[in-house]
Amino acid sequence: MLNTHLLSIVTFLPVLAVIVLAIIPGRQEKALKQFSIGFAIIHFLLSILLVTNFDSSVYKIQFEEIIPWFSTQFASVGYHIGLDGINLWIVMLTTFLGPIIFLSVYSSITKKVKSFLINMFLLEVGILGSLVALNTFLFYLFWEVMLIPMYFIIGVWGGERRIYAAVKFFIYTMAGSLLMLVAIIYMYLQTGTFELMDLYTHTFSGQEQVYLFAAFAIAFAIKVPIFPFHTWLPDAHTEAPTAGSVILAGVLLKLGTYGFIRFAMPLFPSAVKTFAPYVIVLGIIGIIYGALVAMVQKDVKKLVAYSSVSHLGYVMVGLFALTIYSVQGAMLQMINHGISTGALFLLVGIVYERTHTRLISEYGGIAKVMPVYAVLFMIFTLSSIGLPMTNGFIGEFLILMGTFKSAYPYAFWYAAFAAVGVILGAVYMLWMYQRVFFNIEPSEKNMKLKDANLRERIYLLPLLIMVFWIGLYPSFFLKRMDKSVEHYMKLIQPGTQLVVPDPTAAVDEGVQK
Amino acid sequence: MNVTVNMTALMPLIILFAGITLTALMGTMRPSVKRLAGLVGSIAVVLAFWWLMERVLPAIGTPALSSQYGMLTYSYYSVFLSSLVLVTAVAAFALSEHYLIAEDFSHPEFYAILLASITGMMVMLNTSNFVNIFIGLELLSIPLYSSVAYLRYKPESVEGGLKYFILGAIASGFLAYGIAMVYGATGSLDFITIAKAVKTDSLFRLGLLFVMMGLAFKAAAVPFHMWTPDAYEGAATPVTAFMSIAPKAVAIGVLIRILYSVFPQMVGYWREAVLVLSILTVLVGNLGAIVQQSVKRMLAYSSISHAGYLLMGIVAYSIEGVSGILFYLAGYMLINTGAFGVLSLLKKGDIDYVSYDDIRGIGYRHPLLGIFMSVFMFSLAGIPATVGFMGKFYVFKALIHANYVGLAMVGIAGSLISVYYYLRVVVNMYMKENPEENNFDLNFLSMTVLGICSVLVIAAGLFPAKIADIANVAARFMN
Repeated sequence: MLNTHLLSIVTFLPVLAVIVLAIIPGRQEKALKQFSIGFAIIHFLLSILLVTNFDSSVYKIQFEEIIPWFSTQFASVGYHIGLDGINLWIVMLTTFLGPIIFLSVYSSITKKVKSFLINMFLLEVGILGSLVALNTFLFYLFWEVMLIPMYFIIGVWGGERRIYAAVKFFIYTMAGSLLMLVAIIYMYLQTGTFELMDLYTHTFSGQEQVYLFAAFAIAFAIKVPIFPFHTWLPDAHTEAPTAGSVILAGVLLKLGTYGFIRFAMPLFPSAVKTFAPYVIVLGIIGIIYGALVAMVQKDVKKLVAYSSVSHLGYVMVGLFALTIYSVQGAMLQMINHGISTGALFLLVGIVYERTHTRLISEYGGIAKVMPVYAVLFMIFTLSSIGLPMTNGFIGEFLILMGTFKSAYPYAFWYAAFAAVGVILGAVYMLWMYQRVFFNIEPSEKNMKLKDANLRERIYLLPLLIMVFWIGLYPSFFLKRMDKSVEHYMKLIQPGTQLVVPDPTAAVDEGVQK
Repeated sequence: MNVTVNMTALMPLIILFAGITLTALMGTMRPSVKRLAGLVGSIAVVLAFWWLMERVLPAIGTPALSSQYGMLTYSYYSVFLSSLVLVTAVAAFALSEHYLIAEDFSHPEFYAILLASITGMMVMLNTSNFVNIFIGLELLSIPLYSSVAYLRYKPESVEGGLKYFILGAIASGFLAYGIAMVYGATGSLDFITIAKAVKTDSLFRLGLLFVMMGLAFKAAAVPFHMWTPDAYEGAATPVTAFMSIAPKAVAIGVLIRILYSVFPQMVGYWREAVLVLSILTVLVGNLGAIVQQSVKRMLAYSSISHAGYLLMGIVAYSIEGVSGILFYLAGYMLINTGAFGVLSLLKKGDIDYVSYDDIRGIGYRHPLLGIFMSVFMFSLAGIPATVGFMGKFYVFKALIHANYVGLAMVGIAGSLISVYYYLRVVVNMYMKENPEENNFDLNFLSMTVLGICSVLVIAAGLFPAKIADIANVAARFMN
């Protein structure tokens, strides 16, 4: 009973929180916040059952639920959700970030608390729903509905230019997804089904694939965001409140890359081969461009935002390199980015709450007054750079190695240019770190800064654990992806027999080198 | 000539006519009786609706409804649209109660005028003869002109009414000319006879074109939309709600009926015309809405753009398309009643607070009103989980099915533009502060109507099957 409906329960549980929050009067801010934290923890604990009951020896969809939803003469849609190695960890990341975000909200949100918490829980439903949906119509529904709470979070609780950022975010994303809607309808008319698993078995003609892939790819590319479509991201990130940035960077962007893995690529394998070199080049441009722009930022938060453009460039390169290493690396990197960039946004939020500025020039030397904070910041900085032993290393290493070994004529150059991003990443992150924490004596104003308090340490601790857990023992995570990725490779390269190497062994090998 | 009177078929009209007479008479009575006019009007509409559902609907296709000259014919299609009109009317009456009292201008004639217009719509929908189309159109329009100008002490109301009247008269002229030409070409005014005539000469073509123009005017399709913003803005808000739905549904419904079942042989000819019309309507409506400073005027332009999506559905020329349009209309009725209903509450004395600046911060001062309005705005913008999305989904799907992918793309571009100005309402309600603390009197009746509308908008967006099935049957049995 629990197992059959577990995924639905996990997905829709936040709705219960919304109802309870609606009942609690808005004046009881403490009660509202405490309830949210408690609820998010229960939600996360419940979702752990998904990992413990997950069978990593098969690629099959698990915790599957299919119910007819509505059916009319001209369209019938089913409610179909499920979990496999591809979405398991992103779902877990979402529920994992929940309590952390609500803990950070405790001090950072002071006005209209009730509405904020409600929006946050609704956003979670939207994200989880689009992650587990295995029906294109259902996916589209969640994908769009998710925009509304995020739009409010940026627009109501954001910074000065929040309205501009919120509207830009909304319209940009909507533009892409409307194209996707046309493609979804077209596929339905060709095949008579919205079911993803049935669509996998259908082969579209070459011409169709090109158009359909383009429609899906633009929708997802905007979300990721891939290089020319990224302009909404820095605005959204800088204006969003800390909690909004964390969920945006942590999970929302991953929906773009997840969309590629789940929808765009396996549905249109031949178009993937046509487009792959271009996407890889755009990914590499994103890596280098994002890093260079991050380097010159004066605002810490904007810097972290541009670093996201750079990091997600890796994920795209990894996905389109089409080797088992790089795809696994890309999927792991999605999680890594959620953890380390999420943590960096939280850290920026902590100091912003104290100083009300994010300009690097306003800081300097604050390691002296905030030692614990400085250490935590250092660890997440290193994880973001991809230092061995941290999570970032595993992901980047697998991606670069997979890209290097890929079958493209310029595979070497792809890998080489992507690797430049690693160096640039170290440059902008460490340079920023130096300017914020060392360099000069702290100014008089900054002398009074308080170090990270207990609550802040508590919510950063789980992230810290994850950094080293993935960094030192990635096979726990990779093992649960293995079968699904293998199967996925067969979907995007039909007909080829794959000799599947063990990526965890490759990592060990790499570490020894 | 042997004239039989079919009471079953006539009864809805008789009930409505009784309503007109009663409400008009109530104007001469004591104020305490006058106040009941809205109730009496609503009862008349509900009774007519009940008769349609209970007596007419089961009798469709049986001799019980037969009439000799095709003057009064019912089909599932026409009953579907008639019910839409009647339901809209009840909602508009409910909203008017509060609006007119706040305006201190409560007169029973108001309801008599609107009931007359509704009767006109019923005549126009439930007929198979061009004479009744014309009579119905006039009976629909003339009361509507006066209801727009009803707030006679407001210059913009009179201006809107006058513009509507002058342009509307020209459009009626077009329709009359068109009908005359078709009659000249075929020698008949009966739909079935004309459909059998299979003519393609220029007189016939011109007649078709003129008929289309007359109806396009009522549907507020570009380039026949000039009257819309002024008339919608000048009219009392509940009247605007009614005007933006019922006449449009009737005009589009009759247009489909005439094009599909009277002129099917001319499909190649009118399809192009409707295609151009629909593209223009979607683009002009959406672009016009962007620059407005008043929410009411913005919604006027938005209703133009929605007429465009409906016209796109006509281009598909399939049952799927018609059923999509009918579904769209049903959803649109819920949304627009709601959106204008919210605006009708934003008033103090006889001043409407409907500019973007006026609605700042409304979402916090009147949380329920804010949520309702957000639901309606997101639904108009076509966000999933609302009925507005399902309507667009069905229409665009029919278009893609009919191989009009390009046209569907235009529609999608239009709805993307629309996101901007619908969001602007939400932005002002929630994201901007208002220095003036404007609090409005939210009366229970209006809020109930709005509550029902917003719940249905979401319910029908998540579970559209019921309405879609009904729309399907209606689309299948047009004659």
